[in-house]
Amino acid sequence: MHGGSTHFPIALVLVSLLFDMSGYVWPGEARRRELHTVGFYLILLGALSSFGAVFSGLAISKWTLIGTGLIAKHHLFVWPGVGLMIALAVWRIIVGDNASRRAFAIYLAAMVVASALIATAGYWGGEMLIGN
Amino acid sequence: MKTFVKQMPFELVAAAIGIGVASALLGAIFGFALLMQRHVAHQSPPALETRSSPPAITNALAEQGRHLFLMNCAHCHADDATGDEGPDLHGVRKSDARITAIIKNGIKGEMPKFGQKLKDEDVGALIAFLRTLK
Repeated sequence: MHGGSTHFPIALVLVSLLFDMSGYVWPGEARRRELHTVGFYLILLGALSSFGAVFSGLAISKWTLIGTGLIAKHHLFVWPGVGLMIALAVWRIIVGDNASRRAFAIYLAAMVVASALIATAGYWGGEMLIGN
Repeated sequence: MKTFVKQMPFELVAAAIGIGVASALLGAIFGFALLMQRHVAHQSPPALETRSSPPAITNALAEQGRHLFLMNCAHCHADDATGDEGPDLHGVRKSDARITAIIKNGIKGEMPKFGQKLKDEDVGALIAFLRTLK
């Protein structure tokens, strides 16, 4: 179950970043808003789906929060990644469409960090599962 | 304080709220996991005294094997090799060749293969470590 559920937040956060970055640089105002709207719903769904991934992962690891070896490496990236993703989703809910361009640039930088953390956590998770 | 908050850009206030919410949720998840750890510990059968702590390692090869075990195997076989998702590895009676084959090729649907990840020397060290588990 963890192997399946964990792919939702990974994919959603990465695609959300893609849409929001496109929206940031897009010249037309109408299309820019549409891209940001999609980015908003994707990060919202990503943050929500991360709960399923987190709880299924905790359940199969007998509720280990850090552990040793590969699982420790996995957790080292999971916890800050999930925390940052939730914080960013809450930020988007509060600011809506009213964020300044400068503030949104900082949001995008934080999203790059969150995506990197989540993707790296996924990599170490795969290493545990696949071995080679 | 109120004046200070009023003078802050609303994006900054939103960021503070976001960090607060994320910290609270992570705290709740951690707290719940710690409670569940206790619950699972109560349900598990008591460990044998000889298996309550990782075994003493007697030589350098086995020590290297223990390090490899903790990095690659402990998340399924438990830190003290008493088993979790994977089986207890104490007193394994399989031959070195059979253990090597299992580590390298895995067991379909049960254990991943480590043939490309671990060199022959690594597998040898893992076996040396396994032989210390009585």
